[in-house]
Amino acid sequence: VDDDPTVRFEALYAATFTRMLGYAVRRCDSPDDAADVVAETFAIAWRRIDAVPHGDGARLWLYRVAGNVLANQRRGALRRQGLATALATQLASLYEPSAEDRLADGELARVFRELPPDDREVLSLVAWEGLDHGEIATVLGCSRITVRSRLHRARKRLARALATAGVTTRWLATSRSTP
Amino acid sequence: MTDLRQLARVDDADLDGLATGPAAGALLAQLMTEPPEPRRRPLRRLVLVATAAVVALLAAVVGPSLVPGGATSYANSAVEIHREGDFYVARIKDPLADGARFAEAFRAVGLDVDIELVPVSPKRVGMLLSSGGGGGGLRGSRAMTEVVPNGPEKVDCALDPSRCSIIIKIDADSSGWNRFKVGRPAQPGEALQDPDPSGGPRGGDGAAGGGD
Repeated sequence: VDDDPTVRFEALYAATFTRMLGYAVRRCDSPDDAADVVAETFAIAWRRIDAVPHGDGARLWLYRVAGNVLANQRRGALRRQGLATALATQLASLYEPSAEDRLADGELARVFRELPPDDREVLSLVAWEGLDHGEIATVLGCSRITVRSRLHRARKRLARALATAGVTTRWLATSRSTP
Repeated sequence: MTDLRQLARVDDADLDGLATGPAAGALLAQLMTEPPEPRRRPLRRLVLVATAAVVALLAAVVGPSLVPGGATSYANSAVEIHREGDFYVARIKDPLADGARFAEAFRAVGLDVDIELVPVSPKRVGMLLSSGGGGGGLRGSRAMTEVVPNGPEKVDCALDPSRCSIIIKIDADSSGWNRFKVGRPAQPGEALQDPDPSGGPRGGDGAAGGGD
């Protein structure tokens, strides 16, 4: 029964939808793009349900697929499928910044946006998805050692950029104390 | 890294309600209207292009008749073959090459496979038109085809076939003799051999079908 693809996929979807949606919303600039990334990611998972690892590996597999889908979208290679228009509508409110958000959207946000994409990717997998080094290695398809050095370099560049921008060193302290 | 968290547009926890809402349910239902691909394969680079991926299952027949190959990759001027997980992936370098050049390459990796490339209309390029084989035995053999850009840029392969290659993936554990007929771009003035939509092409159960 476990191998029935329909049962597996429905369970996978229920267990990971929120995470994949969060991943997409945090990275896409519009609700339509975010909905497309979610739709395409799960479309691939369904088509290749036999290739999706069992257990917790499925979540990392999906992050990896979502990363590829997102990269394709940024290159303009993802066809808009309109599969998820209802979802996009529901996401719209998340994209209306509140006054509070606009205040918070200060130097840190600007500095972060200006980091190289690879730095942002590895930093946000830690900060937003809460992944550890081994998990990030799986998602990015590289070794843990590579993840560690990429994170180290990304944190250094972030710290330098923040210092240049005159942002207080409190940022440095907290960002460097992460495991 | 607590500081970067504040840059997140949402936390996953804020989205919990959406997962059980109607939009998520509608998307799930829509996704599952198409059947999944029938067999496991390892995650490879995703190819999101206009792809004619066709699966042919042939109830072929097998015997221990294979030429033992030994190599896991082979290339000549016509085709380049390498192994990816459960499949041998053949990239057609010269769609006009003599069939013997393709056969030679497949035999080098231990597969008794003949490929016939026939001129078809652009939307059928890369489509598996028919399959057949023989040799004694029960194990089926599977092939999938797709058309992918040669480079990293986005290319509409139906419009610009010269910048794309036909890829044929064949089960690494295929046995017996297998023969696949696949569409290639037509030369100017060449008669097209598109399959007749009413009667299936000879020799295979699994040919064609929508390509999308």
